[in-house]
Amino acid sequence: MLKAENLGYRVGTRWLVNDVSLHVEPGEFWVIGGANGAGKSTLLRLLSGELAPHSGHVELKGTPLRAYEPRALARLRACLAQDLSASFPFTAYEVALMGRIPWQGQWASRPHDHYIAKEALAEAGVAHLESRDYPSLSGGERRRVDMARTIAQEPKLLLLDEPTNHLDAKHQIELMEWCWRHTRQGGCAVAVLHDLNLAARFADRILLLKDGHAAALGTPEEVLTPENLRACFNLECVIWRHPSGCPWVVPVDTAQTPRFHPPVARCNAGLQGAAS
Amino acid sequence: MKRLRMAVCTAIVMMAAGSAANAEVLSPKRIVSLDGGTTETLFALGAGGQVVARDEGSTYPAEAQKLPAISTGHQLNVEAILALKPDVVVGRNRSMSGPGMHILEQARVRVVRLPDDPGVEVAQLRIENLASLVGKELDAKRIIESMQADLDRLEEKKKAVSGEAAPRVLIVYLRPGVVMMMGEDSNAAAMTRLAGGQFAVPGVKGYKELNAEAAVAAQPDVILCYTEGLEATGGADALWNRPGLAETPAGRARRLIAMDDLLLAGFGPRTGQAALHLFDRLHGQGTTVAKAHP
Amino acid sequence: MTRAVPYKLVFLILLAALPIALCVAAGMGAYPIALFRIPAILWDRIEGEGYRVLLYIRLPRIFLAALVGTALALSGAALQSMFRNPLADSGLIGVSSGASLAASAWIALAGADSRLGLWGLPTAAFAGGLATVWLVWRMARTSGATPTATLLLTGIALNAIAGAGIGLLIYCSDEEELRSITFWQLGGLNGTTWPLVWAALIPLVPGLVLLAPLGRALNALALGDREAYHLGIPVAALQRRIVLGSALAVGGAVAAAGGVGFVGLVVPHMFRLLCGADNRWLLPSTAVGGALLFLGADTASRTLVQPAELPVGILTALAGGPFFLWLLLRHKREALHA
Repeated sequence: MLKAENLGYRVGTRWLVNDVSLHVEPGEFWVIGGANGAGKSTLLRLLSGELAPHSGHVELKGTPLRAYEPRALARLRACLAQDLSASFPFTAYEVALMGRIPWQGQWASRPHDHYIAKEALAEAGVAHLESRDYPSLSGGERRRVDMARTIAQEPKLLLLDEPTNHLDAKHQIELMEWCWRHTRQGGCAVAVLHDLNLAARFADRILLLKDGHAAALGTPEEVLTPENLRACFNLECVIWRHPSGCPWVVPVDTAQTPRFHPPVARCNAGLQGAAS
Repeated sequence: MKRLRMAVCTAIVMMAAGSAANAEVLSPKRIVSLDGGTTETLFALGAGGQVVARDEGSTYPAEAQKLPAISTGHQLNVEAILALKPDVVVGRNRSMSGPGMHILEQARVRVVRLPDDPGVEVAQLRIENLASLVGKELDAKRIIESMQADLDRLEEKKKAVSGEAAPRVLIVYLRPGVVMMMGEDSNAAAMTRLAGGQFAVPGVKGYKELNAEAAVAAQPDVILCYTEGLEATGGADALWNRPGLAETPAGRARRLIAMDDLLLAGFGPRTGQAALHLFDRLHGQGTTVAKAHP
Repeated sequence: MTRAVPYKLVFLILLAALPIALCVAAGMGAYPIALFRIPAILWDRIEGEGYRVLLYIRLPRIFLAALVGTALALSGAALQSMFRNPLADSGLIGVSSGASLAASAWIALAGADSRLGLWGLPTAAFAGGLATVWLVWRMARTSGATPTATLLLTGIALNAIAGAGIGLLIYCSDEEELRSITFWQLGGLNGTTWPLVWAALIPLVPGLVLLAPLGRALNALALGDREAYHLGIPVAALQRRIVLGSALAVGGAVAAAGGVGFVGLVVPHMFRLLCGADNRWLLPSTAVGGALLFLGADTASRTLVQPAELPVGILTALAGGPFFLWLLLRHKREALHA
């Protein structure tokens, strides 16, 4: 579905993304990880078509990204970017309805568009906020309204830049689950995530970036090793096992003797329920 | 009220002149004149040779224009005036406000202020004051008698047309992009009344932008303006192209009178001639069609 | 906060008010023409003074006032969405200050040139406005893209430079030129003739046509340049279109009416405070609202102090300002209670 080869992007002489290749198949959920400034967001912007790469190229469904009309592209991929300006008193509903823009003409919205926007708000769990002013919402509520807008766009490819920012623990899980379901229904998703354990729980593949290079690429099992994490984050970790079987990254305080506690059973049970 | 103000002004001027006469020789040798009417009067009195500098509005007679211009009306170059070492700086009240005059007085330059109300009496008073300043009382008498003769002729002419309705006159002040009307307190309005015209927009004071419809509603028979402004805005054709003016009775008859601003509004020694001239043009004698380029 | 006033209601009220306002304005003026006699005058073409005043003086002016108001409000709304700043208006891309500078220069330096006659000043103002926008656009452009923030800052910088130029011209001009410059900057439609209206339509119509159908795209743009791109909006082309459309519309408006602003800032904002931000309703509503506000201001300007003329810039500020404040205060109160 999404194929990037030897992607490179530089500002001046500094390469923010250098020689990164990836191939996202339908039904796959990818997570891009890495330390601050590793080039994760830049990579995502290259994949969205927002930035033109200085080397390499990106293909979506076999067609180069550059060959797409913006509108045709927007019918295939949606992005959830880091932060939105909120200068104008749009209602949450109006923001969600904007997700239908790639599918609409200049003025009128069809009843179908309104139906999808309402459904999207419900799916993002913010149906009760629909007539509220978007700028008056809290950060987390806004994020979920943005999510609804992305849902309403009905994309095949989802690109998410730190989508769990501002969200509480429950809504983080909900959002990740929604992305995961999206991929199981034949779509695909690429998300930049800081939370390696969320990545480990939901991702099919993880790409770790270091200084713009691909440092590791593979299943969570293959990528989340103490060696890789040390190389990418300069962080000492031990890898435990989540009750669902996926790796569980536990950072270790390098300065002190690690203090180990057994995982709390109740919490595990809850996670297991959510993942199934 | 007007008489009282005039009397006070006269007294002030006389006191100034008198105190000067005691202190110095009778006639000042170096005069700086700060307005057109004053310059014109000094030249008419035969004291033109004593004027060493003028303001930009002093355009008559032609000799006056050869003198250096040291003031542009709202900006007074005090240093330039002091450098000329004048015996006296003279002008009308309006041109002599502002901080510059204060500095001149502090520098012990003799400053003479003349009243600036329009009207024949004040015009004659100004001539007398200036004459006593330069010691040319006889010339003043001659000028005033000639002015009076013109005004007497004007009165006779007015009597001859007393049966007719006085022509309604709209006085406009033309600048690029703006048509303004001059109010009834302007010198041009006073001259219009003197020449037997009827002021078309009573109640307007000062300079106001003229509403196009109001121009029609005022039903003026004649449009009166300064020659300079007319030329600066593209002449008579451009004036009639402005909305409103062309729809007035004056516009339909193409009756426009353009007069030099010093002649029309100066109330200087040519007051009598100006009034006669305006009367003739208002009543269709002489040239009624505007001279765009006189 | 939930808004009590639906978009459609406000738009329909505004739309219904426009013809009424046009009729009322046609019945008012320094020259007395009774409102009920207007149809007869126009229909029978009674070749009298009233007919000529109505047809050659009042109607072109009313028509132009409505158009100018529309142009200012529409471009204000579009630019506010583009800059994602509710306080933006056409001033920010330099069109007003450029026009003002060129008009002042024309008055101070070329006022005596009669070959262009009455057309010189509006032509100069229009050219100055367009040239300044072009300059702002070119300077803000970096490697093919035009970041909104850079555009904003370039506009502010060029405004300051134009302000300095105007100051210099004012300093150099004599008293009468000064008066002309001041009057131009206060704005007014006193010199309106049909030829001027037709001439003003040449830039106004393309400008309005460029801006009017942008509702949905502006909604996306209001979220952010990146979000708009993600939603399939060709952002660079849209920006070009907004700037060009605003330059044409406001350039034409300012050339015809002098230094008028504020309408562009206040009308879209009022609508947002009343109903909300959806540009699909905001654009048509502000277009009509701008026409109404400017028509009202111009009618007051030509009737309040007749036979004189009150500069319309004073009136738009005087009428719009307090209402604007009231809306803001009300909004603030509601936000507190929400």
